[in-house]
Amino acid sequence: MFDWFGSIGILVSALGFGATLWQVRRSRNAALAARAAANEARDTVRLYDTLSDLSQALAIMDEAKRLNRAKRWEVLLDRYALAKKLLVHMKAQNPSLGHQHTQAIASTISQLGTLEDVLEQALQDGSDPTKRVAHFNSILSKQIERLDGLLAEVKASPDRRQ
Amino acid sequence: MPAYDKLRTLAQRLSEKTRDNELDWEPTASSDVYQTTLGSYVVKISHVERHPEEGDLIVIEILNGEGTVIEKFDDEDMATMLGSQKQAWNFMEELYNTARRRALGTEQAIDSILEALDDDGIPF
Repeated sequence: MFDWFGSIGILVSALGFGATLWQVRRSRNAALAARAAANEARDTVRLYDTLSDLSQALAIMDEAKRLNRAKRWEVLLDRYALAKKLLVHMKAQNPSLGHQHTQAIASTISQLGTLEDVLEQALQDGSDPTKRVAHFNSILSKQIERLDGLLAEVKASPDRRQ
Repeated sequence: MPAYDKLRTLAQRLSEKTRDNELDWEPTASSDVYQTTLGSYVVKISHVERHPEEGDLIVIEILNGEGTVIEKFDDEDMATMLGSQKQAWNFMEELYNTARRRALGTEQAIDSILEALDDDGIPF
Protein backbone atom coordinates (compact mmCIF):
# COMPACT_ATOMS: atom_id res chain seq x y z
CA MET A 1 0.00 0.00 0.00
CA PHE A 2 1.24 3.44 -0.96
CA ASP A 3 2.44 5.41 2.06
CA TRP A 4 0.76 8.77 1.52
CA PHE A 5 1.82 10.14 4.84
CA GLY A 6 5.45 9.19 4.23
CA SER A 7 5.43 10.74 0.74
CA ILE A 8 3.82 13.94 1.94
CA GLY A 9 6.38 14.06 4.74
CA ILE A 10 9.24 13.74 2.24
CA LEU A 11 7.67 16.41 0.02
CA VAL A 12 7.22 18.79 2.95
CA SER A 13 10.82 18.15 4.04
CA ALA A 14 12.07 18.84 0.51
CA LEU A 15 10.03 22.06 0.32
CA GLY A 16 11.31 23.09 3.75
CA PHE A 17 14.87 22.39 2.69
CA GLY A 18 14.34 24.43 -0.48
CA ALA A 19 12.86 27.28 1.52
CA THR A 20 15.83 27.17 3.89
CA LEU A 21 18.27 27.26 0.96
CA TRP A 22 16.36 30.21 -0.51
CA GLN A 23 16.49 32.03 2.84
CA VAL A 24 20.20 31.33 3.20
CA ARG A 25 20.85 32.61 -0.30
CA ARG A 26 18.76 35.71 0.37
CA SER A 27 20.60 36.37 3.63
CA ARG A 28 23.94 35.88 1.89
CA ASN A 29 22.96 38.34 -0.86
CA ALA A 30 21.77 40.79 1.78
CA ALA A 31 25.06 40.41 3.66
CA LEU A 32 27.04 40.92 0.46
CA ALA A 33 24.95 43.97 -0.42
CA ALA A 34 25.49 45.35 3.10
CA ARG A 35 29.23 44.77 2.81
CA ALA A 36 29.33 46.46 -0.61
CA ALA A 37 27.38 49.41 0.78
CA ALA A 38 29.75 49.62 3.76
CA ASN A 39 32.77 49.51 1.42
CA GLU A 40 31.24 52.18 -0.77
CA ALA A 41 30.54 54.37 2.25
CA ARG A 42 34.11 53.86 3.51
CA ASP A 43 35.52 54.72 0.07
CA THR A 44 33.36 57.85 -0.05
CA VAL A 45 34.57 58.94 3.39
CA ARG A 46 38.16 58.22 2.35
CA LEU A 47 37.69 60.21 -0.84
CA TYR A 48 36.37 63.18 1.13
CA ASP A 49 39.31 62.85 3.53
CA THR A 50 41.72 62.75 0.59
CA LEU A 51 40.15 65.78 -1.05
CA SER A 52 40.13 67.61 2.27
CA ASP A 53 43.81 66.81 3.06
CA LEU A 54 44.93 67.71 -0.43
CA SER A 55 42.92 70.94 -0.57
CA GLN A 56 44.18 71.99 2.86
CA ALA A 57 47.79 71.21 1.92
CA LEU A 58 47.42 73.27 -1.25
CA ALA A 59 45.86 76.18 0.64
CA ILE A 60 48.71 76.09 3.17
CA MET A 61 51.34 76.04 0.42
CA ASP A 62 49.65 79.02 -1.23
CA GLU A 63 49.65 80.79 2.12
CA ALA A 64 53.33 79.87 2.55
CA LYS A 65 54.18 81.90 -0.55
CA ARG A 66 52.51 84.94 0.97
CA LEU A 67 54.20 84.31 4.33
CA ASN A 68 57.56 84.10 2.54
CA ARG A 69 56.98 87.52 1.00
CA ALA A 70 55.86 88.87 4.39
CA LYS A 71 58.99 87.33 6.03
CA ARG A 72 56.91 85.47 8.62
CA TRP A 73 59.58 82.82 9.09
CA GLU A 74 58.42 81.22 12.36
CA VAL A 75 54.84 80.86 11.09
CA LEU A 76 56.22 79.41 7.85
CA LEU A 77 58.01 76.63 9.70
CA ASP A 78 54.69 75.56 11.23
CA ARG A 79 52.95 75.74 7.85
CA TYR A 80 55.55 73.57 6.12
CA ALA A 81 55.26 70.98 8.88
CA LEU A 82 51.47 71.01 8.71
CA ALA A 83 51.34 70.68 4.91
CA LYS A 84 53.78 67.79 5.12
CA LYS A 85 51.69 66.10 7.82
CA LEU A 86 48.52 66.39 5.72
CA LEU A 87 50.24 64.87 2.68
CA VAL A 88 51.73 62.03 4.72
CA HIS A 89 48.27 61.33 6.17
CA MET A 90 46.69 61.44 2.73
CA LYS A 91 49.28 59.04 1.36
CA ALA A 92 48.80 56.63 4.27
CA GLN A 93 45.03 56.69 3.74
CA ASN A 94 45.44 55.81 0.06
CA PRO A 95 47.93 52.96 -0.20
CA SER A 96 46.66 52.11 -3.68
CA LEU A 97 47.44 55.51 -5.17
CA GLY A 98 48.77 55.34 -8.73
CA HIS A 99 52.50 55.50 -9.44
CA GLN A 100 52.48 59.09 -10.70
CA HIS A 101 50.43 60.33 -7.77
CA THR A 102 52.65 58.53 -5.26
CA GLN A 103 55.70 60.13 -6.87
CA ALA A 104 54.13 63.58 -6.87
CA ILE A 105 53.27 63.38 -3.17
CA ALA A 106 56.65 61.90 -2.16
CA SER A 107 58.42 64.63 -4.10
CA THR A 108 56.36 67.40 -2.50
CA ILE A 109 56.83 65.98 1.01
CA SER A 110 60.58 65.95 0.44
CA GLN A 111 60.59 69.48 -1.02
CA LEU A 112 58.63 70.78 1.97
CA GLY A 113 61.13 69.05 4.25
CA THR A 114 64.04 70.78 2.52
CA LEU A 115 62.25 74.15 2.67
CA GLU A 116 61.77 73.60 6.40
CA ASP A 117 65.41 72.55 6.93
CA VAL A 118 66.84 75.46 4.95
CA LEU A 119 64.70 77.99 6.76
CA GLU A 120 65.40 76.47 10.15
CA GLN A 121 69.14 76.51 9.43
CA ALA A 122 69.02 80.13 8.25
CA LEU A 123 67.20 81.17 11.43
CA GLN A 124 69.71 79.30 13.60
CA ASP A 125 72.66 80.88 11.76
CA GLY A 126 71.05 84.29 12.06
CA SER A 127 71.19 84.77 8.29
CA ASP A 128 68.40 86.58 6.48
CA PRO A 129 66.44 84.25 4.14
CA THR A 130 64.87 87.23 2.32
CA LYS A 131 67.13 87.05 -0.71
CA ARG A 132 66.03 83.45 -1.32
CA VAL A 133 62.29 84.09 -1.15
CA ALA A 134 61.91 84.05 -4.94
CA HIS A 135 63.60 80.65 -5.12
CA PHE A 136 61.53 79.25 -2.23
CA ASN A 137 58.34 80.44 -3.90
CA SER A 138 59.33 79.00 -7.25
CA ILE A 139 59.82 75.59 -5.57
CA LEU A 140 56.42 75.97 -3.87
CA SER A 141 54.72 77.02 -7.12
CA LYS A 142 56.01 73.95 -8.92
CA GLN A 143 54.74 71.66 -6.16
CA ILE A 144 51.37 73.47 -6.06
CA GLU A 145 51.01 73.02 -9.82
CA ARG A 146 51.80 69.32 -9.49
CA LEU A 147 49.34 68.74 -6.63
CA ASP A 148 46.66 70.85 -8.36
CA GLY A 149 46.78 68.36 -11.23
CA LEU A 150 46.44 65.51 -8.77
CA LEU A 151 43.49 67.19 -7.04
CA ALA A 152 41.73 67.73 -10.36
CA GLU A 153 42.19 64.06 -11.25
CA VAL A 154 40.92 62.83 -7.89
CA LYS A 155 37.90 65.13 -8.14
CA ALA A 156 37.13 64.16 -11.71
CA SER A 157 37.35 60.42 -11.29
CA PRO A 158 37.64 58.73 -7.90
CA ASP A 159 38.34 55.42 -9.64
CA ARG A 160 41.63 56.79 -10.98
CA ARG A 161 43.03 56.68 -7.50
CA GLN A 162 43.28 52.90 -7.88
CA MET B 1 79.77 43.96 3.08
CA PRO B 2 76.46 43.36 1.30
CA ALA B 3 74.94 46.70 2.36
CA TYR B 4 77.93 48.54 0.83
CA ASP B 5 77.64 46.42 -2.31
CA LYS B 6 74.03 47.48 -2.68
CA LEU B 7 74.83 51.13 -2.11
CA ARG B 8 77.63 51.00 -4.68
CA THR B 9 75.25 49.38 -7.17
CA LEU B 10 72.65 52.02 -6.37
CA ALA B 11 75.13 54.85 -6.93
CA GLN B 12 76.29 53.30 -10.21
CA ARG B 13 72.70 52.85 -11.45
CA LEU B 14 71.86 56.43 -10.49
CA SER B 15 74.90 57.61 -12.39
CA GLU B 16 74.01 55.59 -15.52
CA LYS B 17 70.36 56.64 -15.49
CA THR B 18 71.29 60.28 -14.89
CA ARG B 19 73.80 60.25 -17.76
CA ASP B 20 71.15 58.64 -20.01
CA ASN B 21 68.69 61.36 -19.00
CA GLU B 22 66.25 58.83 -17.56
CA LEU B 23 65.90 60.48 -14.15
CA ASP B 24 64.04 63.70 -13.49
CA TRP B 25 66.28 65.61 -11.11
CA GLU B 26 64.82 68.78 -9.70
CA PRO B 27 66.16 71.73 -7.72
CA THR B 28 65.24 72.09 -4.06
CA ALA B 29 65.11 75.03 -1.67
CA SER B 30 68.79 74.46 -0.98
CA SER B 31 71.03 75.59 -3.82
CA ASP B 32 73.38 72.63 -3.30
CA VAL B 33 70.74 69.91 -3.11
CA TYR B 34 68.92 68.17 -5.97
CA GLN B 35 66.35 65.42 -5.77
CA THR B 36 64.72 62.76 -7.90
CA THR B 37 61.72 60.60 -7.03
CA LEU B 38 61.67 56.87 -7.64
CA GLY B 39 58.33 55.29 -6.74
CA SER B 40 57.53 56.46 -3.23
CA TYR B 41 61.18 57.13 -2.38
CA VAL B 42 63.18 60.28 -2.95
CA VAL B 43 66.92 60.37 -3.62
CA LYS B 44 68.73 63.58 -2.76
CA ILE B 45 72.26 64.48 -3.73
CA SER B 46 74.04 67.35 -2.06
CA HIS B 47 77.37 69.11 -2.10
CA VAL B 48 78.38 69.86 1.48
CA GLU B 49 81.05 72.52 1.92
CA ARG B 50 83.46 71.92 4.79
CA HIS B 51 86.67 73.42 6.06
CA PRO B 52 89.39 73.28 3.37
CA GLU B 53 91.51 70.84 5.38
CA GLU B 54 88.58 68.42 5.63
CA GLY B 55 87.52 68.65 2.00
CA ASP B 56 83.95 68.91 0.71
CA LEU B 57 81.54 66.00 0.70
CA ILE B 58 79.05 64.74 -1.85
CA VAL B 59 76.19 63.10 0.03
CA ILE B 60 73.40 60.85 -1.23
CA GLU B 61 70.31 60.42 0.93
CA ILE B 62 67.32 58.14 0.48
CA LEU B 63 64.04 59.35 1.97
CA ASN B 64 60.91 57.30 2.51
CA GLY B 65 57.39 58.47 1.67
CA GLU B 66 57.18 60.39 4.93
CA GLY B 67 60.29 62.40 4.15
CA THR B 68 62.45 60.57 6.69
CA VAL B 69 66.07 59.84 5.75
CA ILE B 70 66.39 56.06 5.76
CA GLU B 71 69.87 55.79 4.23
CA LYS B 72 72.75 58.16 3.75
CA PHE B 73 76.24 57.76 2.33
CA ASP B 74 78.93 60.06 0.98
CA ASP B 75 82.08 59.96 -1.11
CA GLU B 76 84.10 58.81 1.91
CA ASP B 77 81.84 55.75 2.21
CA MET B 78 82.16 55.28 -1.53
CA ALA B 79 85.95 55.30 -1.10
CA THR B 80 85.56 52.28 1.19
CA MET B 81 83.42 50.63 -1.49
CA LEU B 82 85.66 51.53 -4.43
CA GLY B 83 88.99 51.35 -2.65
CA SER B 84 90.18 54.81 -3.69
CA GLN B 85 89.28 58.22 -2.27
CA LYS B 86 90.11 60.04 -5.50
CA GLN B 87 88.09 57.62 -7.64
CA ALA B 88 85.15 57.89 -5.21
CA TRP B 89 85.26 61.70 -5.21
CA ASN B 90 85.44 61.87 -9.01
CA PHE B 91 82.55 59.45 -9.35
CA MET B 92 80.31 61.27 -6.85
CA GLU B 93 81.25 64.72 -8.15
CA GLU B 94 80.39 63.70 -11.71
CA LEU B 95 77.04 62.32 -10.53
CA TYR B 96 76.33 65.53 -8.60
CA ASN B 97 77.26 67.77 -11.52
CA THR B 98 75.21 65.75 -14.00
CA ALA B 99 72.19 65.75 -11.66
CA ARG B 100 72.61 69.49 -11.20
CA ARG B 101 72.77 70.12 -14.95
CA ARG B 102 69.64 67.97 -15.49
CA ALA B 103 67.77 69.76 -12.69
CA LEU B 104 68.64 73.21 -13.97
CA GLY B 105 68.08 72.34 -17.62
CA THR B 106 71.64 73.32 -18.53
CA GLU B 107 71.83 70.93 -21.50
CA GLN B 108 68.68 72.38 -23.09
CA ALA B 109 69.96 75.90 -22.49
CA ILE B 110 73.30 75.14 -24.16
CA ASP B 111 71.57 73.33 -27.06
CA SER B 112 69.26 76.29 -27.50
CA ILE B 113 72.15 78.78 -27.44
CA LEU B 114 74.16 76.67 -29.88
CA GLU B 115 71.13 76.50 -32.18
CA ALA B 116 70.77 80.27 -32.00
CA LEU B 117 74.48 80.71 -32.71
CA ASP B 118 74.24 78.39 -35.70
CA ASP B 119 71.27 80.31 -37.03
CA ASP B 120 72.29 82.21 -40.17
CA GLY B 121 69.89 84.99 -39.21
CA ILE B 122 72.24 86.28 -36.52
CA PRO B 123 73.96 89.33 -37.94
CA PHE B 124 77.63 88.54 -37.19
